[in-house]
Amino acid sequence: MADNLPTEFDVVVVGTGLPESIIAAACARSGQRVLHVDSRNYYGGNWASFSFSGLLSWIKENQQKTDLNDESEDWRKLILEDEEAIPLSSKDKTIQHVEDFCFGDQDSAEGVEEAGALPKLPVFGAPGAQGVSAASEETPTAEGISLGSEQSPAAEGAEKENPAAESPAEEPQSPEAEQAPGSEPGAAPGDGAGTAPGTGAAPSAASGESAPEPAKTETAPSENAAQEPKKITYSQIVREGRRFNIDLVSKLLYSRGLLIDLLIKSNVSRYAEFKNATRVLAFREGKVEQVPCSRADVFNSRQLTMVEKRMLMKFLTFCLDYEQHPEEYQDYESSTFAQFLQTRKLTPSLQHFILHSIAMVSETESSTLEGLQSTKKFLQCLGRYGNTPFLFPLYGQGEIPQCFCRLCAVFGGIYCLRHAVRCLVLDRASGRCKAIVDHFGQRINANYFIVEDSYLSESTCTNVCYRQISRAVLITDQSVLNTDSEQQVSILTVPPLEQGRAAVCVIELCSSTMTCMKDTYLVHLTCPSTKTAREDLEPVVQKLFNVNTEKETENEELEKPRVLWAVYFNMRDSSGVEKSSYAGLPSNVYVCSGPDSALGNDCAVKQAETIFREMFPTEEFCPPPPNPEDIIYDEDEIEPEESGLNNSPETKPESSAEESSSGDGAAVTKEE
Amino acid sequence: MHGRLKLRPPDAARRRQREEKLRQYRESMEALLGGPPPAQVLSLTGSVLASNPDVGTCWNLRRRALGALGGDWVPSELAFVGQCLGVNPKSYGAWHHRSWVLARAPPAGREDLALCERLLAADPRNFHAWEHRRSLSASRDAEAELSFAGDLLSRDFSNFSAWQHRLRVLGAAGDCGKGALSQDRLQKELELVHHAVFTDPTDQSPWVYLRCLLSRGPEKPRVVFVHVDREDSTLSVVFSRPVKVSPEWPELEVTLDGSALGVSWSSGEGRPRPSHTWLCDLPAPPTQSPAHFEVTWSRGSAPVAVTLQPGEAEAWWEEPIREQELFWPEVGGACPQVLRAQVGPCRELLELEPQSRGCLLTLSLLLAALDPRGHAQEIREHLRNLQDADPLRSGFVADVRSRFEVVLGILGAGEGLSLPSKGLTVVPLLERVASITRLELPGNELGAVPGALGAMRRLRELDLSDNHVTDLGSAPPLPRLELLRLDRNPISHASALSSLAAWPRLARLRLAETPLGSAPDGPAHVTELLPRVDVAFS
Repeated sequence: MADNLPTEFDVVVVGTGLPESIIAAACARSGQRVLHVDSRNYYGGNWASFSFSGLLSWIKENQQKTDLNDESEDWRKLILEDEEAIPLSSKDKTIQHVEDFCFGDQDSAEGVEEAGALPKLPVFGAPGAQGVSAASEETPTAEGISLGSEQSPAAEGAEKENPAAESPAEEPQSPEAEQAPGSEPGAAPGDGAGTAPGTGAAPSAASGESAPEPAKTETAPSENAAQEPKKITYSQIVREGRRFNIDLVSKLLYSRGLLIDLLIKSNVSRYAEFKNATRVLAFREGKVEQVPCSRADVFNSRQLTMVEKRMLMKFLTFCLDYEQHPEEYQDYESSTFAQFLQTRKLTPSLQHFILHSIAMVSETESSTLEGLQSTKKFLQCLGRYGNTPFLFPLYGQGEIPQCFCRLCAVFGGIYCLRHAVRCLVLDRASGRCKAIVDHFGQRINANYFIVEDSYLSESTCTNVCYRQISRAVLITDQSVLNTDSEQQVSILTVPPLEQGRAAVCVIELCSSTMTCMKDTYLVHLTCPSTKTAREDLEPVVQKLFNVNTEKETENEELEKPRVLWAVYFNMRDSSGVEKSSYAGLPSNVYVCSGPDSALGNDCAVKQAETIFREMFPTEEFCPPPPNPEDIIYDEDEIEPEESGLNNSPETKPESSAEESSSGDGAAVTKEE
Repeated sequence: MHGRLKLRPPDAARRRQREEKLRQYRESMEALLGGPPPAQVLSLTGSVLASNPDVGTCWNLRRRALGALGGDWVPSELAFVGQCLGVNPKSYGAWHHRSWVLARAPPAGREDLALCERLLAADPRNFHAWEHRRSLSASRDAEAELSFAGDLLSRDFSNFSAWQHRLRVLGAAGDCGKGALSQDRLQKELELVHHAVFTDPTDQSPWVYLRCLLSRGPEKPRVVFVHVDREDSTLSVVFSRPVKVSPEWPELEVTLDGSALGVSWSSGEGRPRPSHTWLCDLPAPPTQSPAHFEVTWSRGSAPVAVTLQPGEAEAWWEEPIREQELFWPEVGGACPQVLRAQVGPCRELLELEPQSRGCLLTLSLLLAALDPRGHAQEIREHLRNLQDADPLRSGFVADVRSRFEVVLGILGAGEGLSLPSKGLTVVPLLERVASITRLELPGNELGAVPGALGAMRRLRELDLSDNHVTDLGSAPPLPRLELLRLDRNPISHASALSSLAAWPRLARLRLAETPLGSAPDGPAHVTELLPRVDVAFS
């Protein structure tokens, strides 16, 4: 398939992370011919989500770090005399210091296989059904939020009764749908190439393994698990590995952030479902507490006194329109937000809540204005979809890039995974890039090139100074704060445990987010790196969790959730790098950064929009796609009714001009 | 062009749908009005109502058809109404039909509660659903209802309906029928309110709930003043609230020396409307022996006895004033400890939120109910701040202030009541001082004569100078009034004074510096209107 790819495109996008995918979707949407490739066998790059086994092979791959220097340099032959090659890197070097730990009896798990793992035995049906059973058990469609329908007090009963009506029930999809675990990446080049997410990753068209049948063939061990919910063993994790969707980046969507706006505007939101983060937590004096952040929370809170409630509400109300009251804060503009808070008659616990859990800014570095801005952003996001400002995409953050890829594919974009690009071809005369050469030695011409940072070679990046993100992912057996409901999505900011460190953002996901198996929690820890991920994050993990193996636990440790499995790694943070820092890139090559360390996704969306506008200043960025019911195929006639109404000669050309102009933006090769 | 998308104009499809709907509606209505058999009426109205549940005609036809049909149509009908409520959860017609159906069915079960719950989850302020739930929950467990309302409040406490539901459930659950709550329950409710008002003092719903919770509900009207006038042969009865005494079947009875008098009652204003004052003509009382009158207001309360001694021109009985109950009668009777316990939190909140109108008003009312004279300065200050904080309701606040000033005046009143330059906009509570002979209200903001003026059977002097009265309107005749001062009021026409012609003893009228005095024919007209009155224009 892949060796007869078309050779002419308008835009070639290398890398399937979030910014690249948004750009690809925007370009295809505005009628550009788009080729979107990724050298990996999954979508998302460092934005991907993995099943447990998928993550284990990702860990293995990143721990080995063997350089494949035996690459042929055949492609150099394709470079003409008036051209120059800008080689791209063949090895991803953005992940470092990967360390994984199992706190259970790992040996017993030897030989245990992931249920529903792809065909070692090509049995059709039964294992696949298990892979999907999560969906039928937890009924995510009933809980998921479909964007677009905002929560409003006057919502009509009829609309609310069936929230799933508008968001089509989607089966779980996972990037490795087309990835055979065990098969080494690149071992069978070309196999996965040419699959467009419109068909490959699209849940509706997924192959037999995601047949939407309820799991009738539950195996005996998982029944045992249901009887003793608190004892999860490593082998169960392995066996239920497909229920995990473990994100490499841990982010939440601010409900009035740029990404939500874009998802709604472009109608990409219909490809995804979301769950509200249910609570905001704080870690104070060694205890995890719930932070009352909305008016209803404050009213219902039992931990605050009446006066505290008033002081908190008063301060939060002030933050919502702090610009209108400069007299309140201008004396403190040069001091830190923490110092400003001390002057506001707030009790220490309220100061802690506001500083760390609501504004989520640094105690020692963030200025008053910075803190007020962050608080305001948090508060503005409250109440749009629920009582916290955040949404989490069901099946993991890795869904989001794929949703944009799907939009791109719907508008004719062509997708190739496991498709490495050897070099960019620079035309010496014009100083512009004119083509790429792929790993088959095929030259593909285009006008614009989008390359994700990790694909650039070391020589291109010599002058770039990267920051790092420290990440940890834990599988635990309990929530950090148990309440009557087990299904909580929580965000917790742990202030720096010692001077000079950064605050750690902890996101705890429950099984109804479709990211972990029943009776477990998936905990993501993130902070900007100062050392290796383990050095940065292990102290926090020890504070919050019980990391001892079985018996040697003390009483107080018993209260804490037990870590069953953990991985630490550092990820390169290539955000905020000026394009001029990259050496020798032509003007029509744009660089997208990998994930940043911030909680929201604004950075990626901003970058995508900026790059799109530089390429196509006159085109609209991701306009809403037309409603399928309004599309008229050539065979259909325009209804007589219309022509009957518009039969005066003056109006006719006008209306047809309108039609063709709106059609312009929606050019599609009829593919389905 | 090939391969290009062509788009229909976006609203074409919708317009076609609407036209289709209209066509169906017209057809069905035409068929309905032709008088089809009941079964067909059901299906035709069903198709119309399913898309538009607000066609009252269809509901009526449907009810008629159901009545004619017989058979057990209750469950299917309830399901149908449920479906219509899905289209418009606030359709009056659909809700009315539902209660009509339920009235013909065994007591509603779980489905109706579940329906209400569903609709209230979608819109917690759907008053139809609240009302329906109230009618269902009459026999239900009070605790379950309280927790239901509590759940909705915990989602958003700015919900008058939920507070109201709570109040009704508590009122019904309270013992001894007076709505009195157990101390325990009251404390819990007060705590809930405190948390709500401290969370958001600008929200009025918990404040209203707090005030309702503390009050006993409106008092019943009772007789506060009875006056017998020998010269005019009249007996007047003044009530604490306006009541209507029907002439045919009077609940108000008078006996003279034990024998019932068949009298006919007329209101002080002369109109058959609820009034504070009701009058009747008496047969000439005996002149040699004491005449014992007894007035009985049949709706409870003991008879009131008045004895007219020989040689006396008049006799009266007056209910003694209880200081605490004068300003806020519904609350004054409540346990003072409970009221006092509310003052602390209110003051605390006021310190944090000096502009909170709910807090300023509640605190003023509480203090005025506890000890109006002792807290006079503080209350005046709060009400002044309230007026500044709430310019939109300045009229209401002015009325509250006036009431408070009148209360202070009444508490210090003797034979006369004098309230000069107090900024009064209304003069309430005159029925409680019906026996005074002098009423001085100069320099206030009054735009009309006080409402309960008719109760003042003994009033001899009334001073309304320096107010904004333009017209006396249909002021009730005051039988004893001799001097009326209206100096410096914007009265410009003699017709504004026409009701004075009916005042039997009015001897002097003061109209200095009124437009009427400077009008060319003004004085002449007044003289013509009131020939026996000494009118002074300077």
